[in-house]
Amino acid sequence: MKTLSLLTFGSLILLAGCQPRESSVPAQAPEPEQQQIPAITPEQPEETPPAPLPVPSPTNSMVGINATNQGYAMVQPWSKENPSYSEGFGIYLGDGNILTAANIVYSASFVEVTSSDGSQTVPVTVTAFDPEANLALLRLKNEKDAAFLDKLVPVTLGKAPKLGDKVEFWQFNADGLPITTSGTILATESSCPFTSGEPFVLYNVKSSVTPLRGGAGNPVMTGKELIGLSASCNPSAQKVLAVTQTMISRFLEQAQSGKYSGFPSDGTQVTELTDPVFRKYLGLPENGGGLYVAKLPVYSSFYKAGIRSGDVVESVNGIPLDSKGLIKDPSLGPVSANFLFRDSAKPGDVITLGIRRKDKDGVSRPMTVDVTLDRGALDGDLVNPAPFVAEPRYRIYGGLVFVPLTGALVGEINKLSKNRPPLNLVEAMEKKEEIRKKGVDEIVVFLVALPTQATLGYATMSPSIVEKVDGVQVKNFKHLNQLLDRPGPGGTHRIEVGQQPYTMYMSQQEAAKADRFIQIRAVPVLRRD
Amino acid sequence: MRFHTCLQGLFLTLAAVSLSPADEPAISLSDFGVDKVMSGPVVSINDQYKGVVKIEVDSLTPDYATPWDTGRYQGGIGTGFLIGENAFMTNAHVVSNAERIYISMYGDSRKIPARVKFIAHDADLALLEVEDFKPFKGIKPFEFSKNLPNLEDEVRVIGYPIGGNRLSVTRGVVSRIDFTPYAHPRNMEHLTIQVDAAINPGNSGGPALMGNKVIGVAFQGLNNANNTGYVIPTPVIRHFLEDIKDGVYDGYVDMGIQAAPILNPAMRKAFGLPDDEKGVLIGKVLKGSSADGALRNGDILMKVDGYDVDSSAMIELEGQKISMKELIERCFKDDKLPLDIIRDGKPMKVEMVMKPSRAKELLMEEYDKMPRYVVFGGLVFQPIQRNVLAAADISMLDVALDIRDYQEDGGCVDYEDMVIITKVLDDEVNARLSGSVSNAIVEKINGVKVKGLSHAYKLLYPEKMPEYVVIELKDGERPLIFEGKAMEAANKRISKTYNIPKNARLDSAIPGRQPSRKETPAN
Repeated sequence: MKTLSLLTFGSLILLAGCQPRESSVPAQAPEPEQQQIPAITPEQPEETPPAPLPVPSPTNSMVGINATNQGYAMVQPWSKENPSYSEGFGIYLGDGNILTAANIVYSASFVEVTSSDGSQTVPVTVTAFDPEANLALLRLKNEKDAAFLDKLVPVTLGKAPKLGDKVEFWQFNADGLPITTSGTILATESSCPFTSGEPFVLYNVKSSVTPLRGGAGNPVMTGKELIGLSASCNPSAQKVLAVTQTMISRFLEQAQSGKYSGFPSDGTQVTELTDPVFRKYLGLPENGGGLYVAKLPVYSSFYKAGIRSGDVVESVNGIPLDSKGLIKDPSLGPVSANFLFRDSAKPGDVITLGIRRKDKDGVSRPMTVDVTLDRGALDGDLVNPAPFVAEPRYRIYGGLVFVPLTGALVGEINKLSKNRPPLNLVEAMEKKEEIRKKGVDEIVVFLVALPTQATLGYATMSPSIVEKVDGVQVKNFKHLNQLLDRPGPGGTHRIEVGQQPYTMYMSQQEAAKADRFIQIRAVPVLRRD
Repeated sequence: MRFHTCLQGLFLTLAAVSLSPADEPAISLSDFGVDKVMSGPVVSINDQYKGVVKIEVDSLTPDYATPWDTGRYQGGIGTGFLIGENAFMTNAHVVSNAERIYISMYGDSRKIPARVKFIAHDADLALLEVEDFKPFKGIKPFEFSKNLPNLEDEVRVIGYPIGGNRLSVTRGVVSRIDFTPYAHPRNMEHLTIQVDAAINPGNSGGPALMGNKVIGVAFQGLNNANNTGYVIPTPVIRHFLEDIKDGVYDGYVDMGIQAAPILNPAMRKAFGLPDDEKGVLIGKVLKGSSADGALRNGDILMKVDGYDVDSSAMIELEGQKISMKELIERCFKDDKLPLDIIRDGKPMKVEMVMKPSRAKELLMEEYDKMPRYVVFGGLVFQPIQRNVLAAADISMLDVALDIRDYQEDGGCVDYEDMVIITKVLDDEVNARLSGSVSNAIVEKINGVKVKGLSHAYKLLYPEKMPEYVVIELKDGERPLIFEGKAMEAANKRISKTYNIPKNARLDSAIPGRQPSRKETPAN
């Protein structure tokens, strides 16, 4: 199935950059005085490296990145998971911006960059992070480290390459020697560079690269200009999968504007139109192209623009789609039509779709529809599919743990249950649109019952969807908090959930007692709003 | 009262041999020469052995992956024992899918043709009769023990297990009496007696004796444990014999509720219950079940059949605490069970008419049936059912939500079957169907909601073929479209290529077999 959006929250595959760091390398932040030594010791000429040539090169323009990845445990959102460590490369773009891959710095609690010769290491912060596009921007954490950047030669973003263009894959080894490997942009492929979601068009670079630090975040260059950033390397297949120039330029455009929102993401599912009998049934010309709209959620930008399931999209911005849904790009050849409204677009852009729809008499008629692109697939979903949540919200009430249902939570539950999540949650994901009709805009889950006096007999009802509190339909997580914060009738809250026997009673007095106990014993902070 | 849809962590093995029938011993060794004094009347051991028979079965197991094919012929050996005039008891799994059954006596090489009189797949028991009872005249039938044995009571298991041709006796003690899943038919759980006497393949259907009384029928073992044999106890046997008295085996009944204990003090207070550990909360009432209509969510069940129900769903019966489940196990179809409940704070009396759960059959292994199917345009349509899922290698968990809907939330009331496309037989007519067609549940055909396999057949093979046949799948990305005028030729071509004698089988009864079993009343 060819999809514009395949929003499945399967286990996250970290494509690269996720290898345990050797224990001999300390992960803690360097002491400030240590950092300053190399920067302020020009009076020791024998230690000073020669002034860098103002030419971009792996050693002059690249940095090594070490990250400590430690997000919150989604199933115990008050505590962080055990740390894991990632390494990779970044490329200096000037103005203090270092570009790298998101799969190195996801859920990072600490990130540091190292100069190519290993002489200097400084902490940085992640200023823009896009796990869908697998891109991230880093800036120095401390102003006093500014000298670190002075030694780097910035590279500029080049023009979009063509299929067959010769490129270079840059990295440096542990001795600080530049290593470049030549390659060719062999093809493009439609896939997700890091987290699952709607795919992008990526470069498939044929090159005999042996990745030195996981193979992510390496610049792919033509001449001295950046045209792609590696997301993953497959040495046995001699293949580098790289994020394209188009995506990098859109990413930087947004990141530098200050507020990064991401690429347009719609949530519409389409399928190809290669079956001649199906074409005939739809009243389409035998040899034409187009994509069949299979499913589209009410929050998608296509739906809001008037597209309905059963429509056939024949062109985007006047560019015709073939029967597999591909467009002819002048430089990249046949690529997925996504390229026009995802890779090279930003939220707020308007595209024109040429569609066909059967009228009352069953005759298929062409028409055009203008679509204003947005990130509806994420913003409109009752279950936010974003795979990373920096500060997961939760509420503990009398030992009952409530959280919003998110893609990140489902991802973790999938991992823990070996892709066999509890039926109640599967059902919630499947029946989202029915739940929406009850006025819900965010699904709230009764995740677990901590063992307290007040939760006796309630553990079997978790995990399940929270339906009502004191007879009022819970619309979202904030609403749940409001309902629990106000006194219940007779001093007891009646909480209805989606697992038999469906009802829990919680006396406020007992809840307060249980919460005090939990606070002392296990969870110091009972809620994160 | 929850459904047990899988065997959790248990690897039960059925104790029947699936071998080619072994050669009969030329001479029978019958001279043991020792009489043993039993509790009760004196019975010679030889006489006792005579009532234990060897059952040789040739079976034809249908292949649910290619339901139009013949299936697989197999031979097997099990044990049985005489319990009355021309009535031999054995396990259902010994004689499942049997094409030909021979019974032979201890120390006698004759093979006497037999047939199944009654079979209870949900309790793994069967009653056989021979065509000619004369050879067995004068043999004393076994009697059943009135009571369950006690732990550590000594038992003997007699049968024809692997490791030799002649009768074998093993000895042990009663290790445990508990509810255990029955490996045949996989989704049932009844009372069982666990013994440490060896029970091996071939022992199936043989008697477990205490003195000269039968305390149960040996039927299964446990793979990853030592000295763990299982015996079907007399309450289950008696239930079977009682059930068939009217000439029809109806099977076990089920309440169809999920109940929760009311342990939480805040909950007890909210329901106005005193702190006396009585009553269970009715969580879910399964649609179409015995309880549907009698009970509803939120009811508090206080008494069943006059017995108090405590907060963990136990009742006191004859001075013993037993689970409510055990009480239900003793019921039969059409039994009326009075219930005392509290609904919306008011005490009430309701009556529940017991019936077997149709929904449960979905996950019960199916025997003695011809697999149903429809083939259209190379698509193979089958009902969702345990054998079909296993043959198509579909994980039960992949359709768990649909199965739950069917079993609990009304699917079994609205639909005869859930129809699934299990495979696509490649042909030019289906070559360009894109997306995942196999293992998809069929929602609509030509715009009509599919109610079952027969209904699907009617919609796929109408008298007048429409211009297009439109098949909509659950979660399918697009409808599957076939051109009506191409279908007759295509279906003929596919039948020929794949050697399918008929486009559909909608009746699962084996021709000329099923009815005769039920018409004969039991003695």
